[in-house]
Amino acid sequence: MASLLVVIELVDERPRPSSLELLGQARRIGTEVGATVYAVAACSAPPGYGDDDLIAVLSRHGADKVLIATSPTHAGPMRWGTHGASVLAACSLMPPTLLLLADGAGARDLGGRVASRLGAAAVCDAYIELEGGNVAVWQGAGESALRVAQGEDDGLEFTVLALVPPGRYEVSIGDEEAEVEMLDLPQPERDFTDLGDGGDWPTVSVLGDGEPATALARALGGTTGPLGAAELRIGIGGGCSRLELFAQDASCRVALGVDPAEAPDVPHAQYALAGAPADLARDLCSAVNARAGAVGQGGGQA
Amino acid sequence: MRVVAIVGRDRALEVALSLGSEVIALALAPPDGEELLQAARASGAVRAVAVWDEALRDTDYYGAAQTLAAAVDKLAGDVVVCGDTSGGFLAPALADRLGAPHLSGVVSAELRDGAVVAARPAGGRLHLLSAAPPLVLGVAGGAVTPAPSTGHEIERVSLGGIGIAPAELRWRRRFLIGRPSQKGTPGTPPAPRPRLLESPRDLVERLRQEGLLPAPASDDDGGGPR
Repeated sequence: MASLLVVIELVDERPRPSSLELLGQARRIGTEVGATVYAVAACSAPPGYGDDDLIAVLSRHGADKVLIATSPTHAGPMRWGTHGASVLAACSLMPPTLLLLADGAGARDLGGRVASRLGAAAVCDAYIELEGGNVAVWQGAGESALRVAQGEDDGLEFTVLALVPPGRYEVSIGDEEAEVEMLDLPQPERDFTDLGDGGDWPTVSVLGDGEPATALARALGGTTGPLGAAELRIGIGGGCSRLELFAQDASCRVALGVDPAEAPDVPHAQYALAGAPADLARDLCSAVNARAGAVGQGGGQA
Repeated sequence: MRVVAIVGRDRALEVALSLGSEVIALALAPPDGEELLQAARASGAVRAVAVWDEALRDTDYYGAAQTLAAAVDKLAGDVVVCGDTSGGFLAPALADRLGAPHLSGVVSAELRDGAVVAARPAGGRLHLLSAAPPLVLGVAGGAVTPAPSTGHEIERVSLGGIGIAPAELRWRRRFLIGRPSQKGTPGTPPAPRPRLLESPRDLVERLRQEGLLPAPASDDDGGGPR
């Protein structure tokens, strides 16, 4: 397999944990099949070279080579119009066999267009698995899974772009130093003009009944009920089963109140917490409402 | 302005109708699968067009986008609106085929001075973005069940009628190897594995790092969560 390219999505100039998880899985696959692992990051300003700066973080998390694209347009949330040229420049420089993005609204806006430009197969809810020294790509899990691509001795037969939900893989930590290359960006294509802020909009959907669900939705600035364009869906108790309705949704899905031994019974959640649903909802409200310094200390990279 | 709505069980038609009086409903639909087009006509679409060939039955997002782009060209559509379902690959791929800008995750749109202003949520806020046609919008949210309707004229178009040879779509089949239940599909499908976190605090920290929850208020803010 020639190369694995992981698109690193930044939040406040730091990599999303799910991007680092994907980099970890790419590292494991790359090591097994002998492929080079590239990380491409679109930054609004050139990153530094300190131990906690982006390049060092991506090196530690498994990149053989870090490709950096710098432009003021990268300051906002990731989408095709602002970040697409950078990802295409990376694909042009190092044509990937497997292009990985952590799923989310930005990845979906970007991914479909990059896939189309490359003529690649495109997979959501993807699992990137090692099978006997080769790589296999699945969409979904269990009996409803669809096997999309499989490696042979010399790698995948065609280019695959995969959107992988958060929480699916462990990060990889090492001490290798990655090479760094700055990308030249082509002229941007015609894009939308940003008109600014349009006001509050709930992006959290709490699926569950009763006061715990209502209180949690209030604390998170969200709503109870399905909400069409949620970025985060949280099922509480019996509401966890409703997460299935959003199995291929771009949102992050959380199940509250699962039995640890039965966590796989909520297969459409990316994260789960065990315990009594009402207690978890109360503790979650407290954690959300805690001020800076009370929550978040020692967070760092996942 | 001519708006083409790619109809599905989503909010694409609703957003399309909010943009213009001349909305054409378009679908890749076999003769026995016209209910969404019928419902679109009943909801206000001035025309409904079905494109079909058996080669479309097992093509992927790329083949669908290729076909729909050819149909949109034929219909002289200025704005295309479709749902973000099934990975959300269709709207970006369709825009790529049309050479137009696109925006996914849209919840509403309106016309202002000849340009389309679309609203896209992120981080608990709406972001407003504008572009002049031609353009493509991907609309968030699905699970819309249209009211049954019959009796409207549905225009049927073959692949040849929009200049596509079925063989152009069939080669995409090689991307689909199979399901575990299908004979000859190798390997063992992955088991689902939600990650069990230690505590609500860990979850909040993780969701903040993912950009899904706002940063905590500081003591200087004087307020609760944003």
